[in-house]
Amino acid sequence: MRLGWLLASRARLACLLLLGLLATTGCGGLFIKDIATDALDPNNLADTEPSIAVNPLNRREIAIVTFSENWSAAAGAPVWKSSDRGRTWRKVFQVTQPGAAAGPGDQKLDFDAEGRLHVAELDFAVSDYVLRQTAVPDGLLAVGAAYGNDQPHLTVDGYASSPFKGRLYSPFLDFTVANPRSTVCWSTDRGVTVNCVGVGNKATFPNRTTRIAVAPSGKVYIVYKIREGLVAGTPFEDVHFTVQRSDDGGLTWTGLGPTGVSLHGAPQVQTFFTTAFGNPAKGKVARARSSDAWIATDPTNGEVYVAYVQRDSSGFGQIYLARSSDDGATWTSTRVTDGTHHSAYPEVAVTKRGVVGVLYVDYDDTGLVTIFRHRFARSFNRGLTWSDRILQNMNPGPLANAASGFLWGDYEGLTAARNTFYGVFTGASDGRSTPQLDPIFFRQKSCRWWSLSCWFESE
Amino acid sequence: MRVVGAIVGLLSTVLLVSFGIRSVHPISAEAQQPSLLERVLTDPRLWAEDAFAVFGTLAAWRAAGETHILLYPDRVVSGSKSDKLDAARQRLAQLAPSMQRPVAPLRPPFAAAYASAVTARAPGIRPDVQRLAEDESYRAVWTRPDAQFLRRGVTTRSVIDAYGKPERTTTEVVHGQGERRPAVLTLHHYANGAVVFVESDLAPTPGVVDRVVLDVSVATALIFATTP
Repeated sequence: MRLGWLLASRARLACLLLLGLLATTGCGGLFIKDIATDALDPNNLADTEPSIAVNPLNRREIAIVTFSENWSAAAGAPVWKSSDRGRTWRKVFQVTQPGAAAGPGDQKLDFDAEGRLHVAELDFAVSDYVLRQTAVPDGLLAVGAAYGNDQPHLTVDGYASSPFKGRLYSPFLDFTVANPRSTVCWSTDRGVTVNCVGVGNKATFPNRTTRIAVAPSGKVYIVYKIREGLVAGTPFEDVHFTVQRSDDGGLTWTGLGPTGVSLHGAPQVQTFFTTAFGNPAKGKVARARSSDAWIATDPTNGEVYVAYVQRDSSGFGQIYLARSSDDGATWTSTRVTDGTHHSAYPEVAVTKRGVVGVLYVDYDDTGLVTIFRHRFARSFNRGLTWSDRILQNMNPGPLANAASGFLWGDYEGLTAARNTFYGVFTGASDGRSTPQLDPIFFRQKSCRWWSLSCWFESE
Repeated sequence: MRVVGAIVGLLSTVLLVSFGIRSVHPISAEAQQPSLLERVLTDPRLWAEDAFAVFGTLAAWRAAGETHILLYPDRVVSGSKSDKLDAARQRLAQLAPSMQRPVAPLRPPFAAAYASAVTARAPGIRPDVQRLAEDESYRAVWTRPDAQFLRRGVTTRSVIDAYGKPERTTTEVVHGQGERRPAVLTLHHYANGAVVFVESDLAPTPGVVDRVVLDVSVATALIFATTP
C-alpha cells in the first residue's frame, strides 16, 4: 500500500515536473506581435504582401519584407529584422535599387545554408533581380542579373544531402508570351547569373500562381494553376493545379512527365479569381487572383505538400492539402477548413518532425460588416485532421491605409525551422497611434504531445 | 390720378430697391475673391511654366472630348484610355491638331498668370502614345525630356497648408492584368472634385503628390473668357 502510494506520488511528481518544464519553456505557446511601431513606420504604410525567412544558422534571426518604403537612387527599401526570435524588430534599408526603375514590386526572401540573405525583387518596369548579402548582414545587398517578369519567388537549396546545395531558384510568371507561363530560373552563383527555363503547361491555357519548394534530395517542385476559364457570375475560375518536378537542379522539369501531374486528377476544380474577396456590400474586399496555392516539403523525409483552394460541395472556396509520398507522382487530398466560410490565401510549411502548418484567410459576413480572419491550422498526422485557431479578426473598414481591393496582398509568409512555425501576415495594428494595417509576426513551436525529444529540443 | 402716381411711385421704389440690392450684394465679396480652383490653377508653387501652357490649351482638350487630364511632373496624360495601341493612336490623331489651334481668349487672372507660357506654347512638347504601367492602358501623352508640369516634390502637406483640408479623401486600387503589386492611390478632392491631388504608394517618397487630375470642363469654364 505504502509502496504503491510512493510510486504514484513519484509519477505525479514527474508529471508535474514535466508539465512545469513544458510550461516554462513556452512549448506550444503562440507568440504574436505587431512588428511595426510609430517610430519604425512614421508614414503609416500598409506593409502588404509580406514574406518571411529564418536564418538556419541562427534561428533567432528572422527577416521579413513587405510593401513598405520604396527604394530610390538614394536609399534602399527595408528588410524588417529581428535578432531575438521576433520580440524586437528594426528596419534595415538594404534593398538597393537594382535597376533604373522604381520598386519594389513583388518580393520574396530566403536564407542559404550559410545564413546569407537573398531577396527576389520585381521592379516597376517588370524586371526581376536577386539581391544577395555579401558582407555584414545589415549591409547593402548586391544586385544580380536582371531576369524574368511577374511575381518572382525565391528559394535556396540548403540541404547538405542535396547534390545541388546552394543552388538558387526563382520562379515567376512570364507575361511576355501569348499564354503567360510559369517559368523558373536557377543560379549557381547566388543570382549573379541566372538561367531561365519555361516550365508550365501553356499549350492551351495560361498559367498563374507559381510557387516553389526544394526537397532534401535536391528535387525541386513547382505548383501552379492552369487557368481554364472564368465561371460566369461567380468569383471563381476553372483550373488544374499542377505540379512539375526537376531532378537536375532546374535544367529540365520533366520529372513528373512533360506536363506534370494534376493534384486532383483529370477533373477541373474551381478556385478564386476575383478582386472582390469578401462581401462588397459589407465593407472592404481583397484581391484573390494569384492567392490559391503554396508548396512545401518535409525537411526530413521529403514528402511534398501543396495547400490549394477548391470550391467544393459546401459552396465555399475551401483550403485543401494534398500530400505526396512518392516524389509528386500521386497525391492524396484532405480538407483543412470546415466548409462554412470562403477561404483563400493558403501558405504551407512543414517542421522537421513532419508537423504541417497552413496559414490562410477566411471571412465572416453574417454581421453588419465583413470580418476577415487570419487563421493558422496545424496537423500532427500528415494532414488527416487539423487543429485551427484564429490569429486575428479584422474589420478593415476603419483602417485608413487598408485599400479595398488589395488588403494584404496576393500572399503572405509562413516557414518552419526545426519544430517552430514562423509566420507573418498583414493585419490590424496593435498599439499604433493610428489604427492601420501592419505586419503581424507570429511563431509557434509545434510538437506532438508525446514527443519529448521535440519539446526539449532547442529552437 | 393719385392712384396712378402711387403705382408709379411704388414700382420705382421696388425697382430702385431691387437694383440697389443687386448692386451691393454679391459682387463685392465673392467676385473679387478668387475661387479655390482659380488659386490652384495659377499657383506657381504647384505648377511650372509647361503646365500653364497646357492650361492655356484646355479649351482645345475639351473640344476634342477629353473630360480629364492627369498632370505628372514630367508629362501630361489624357484621361481617356484604350486597351489597344491603335485605338490610342487614333485618339492622339484627334487630339494633336486641337493643340495647334490658336489659344482661346483667357480671363484676366489667367491671362496674367499664363502670359509667357502661352506665348511660348511649351516649346518642344511632343504628343505620343504611351502605355501607363499602372493599369497597362494606352494613353495620349504630352512630354519632352526636360518637361516640368507639376512641380517635383509638392507634398500633400503643403497642399493642405495652402488650400485647407480636402473636401474628401478616397482610395483607389489600380490593378494591372498581371500578378504584380497594384498601385494604391490616395485621392484628395478639392473644388467639388474639379481638382484631385493624388498620392501613389508606388512613389519613391511617401506623402508626395504623384499627379493631379483636372476636370477639363470645369477648368475650361473658369479659365477662358469664351469657350468653344
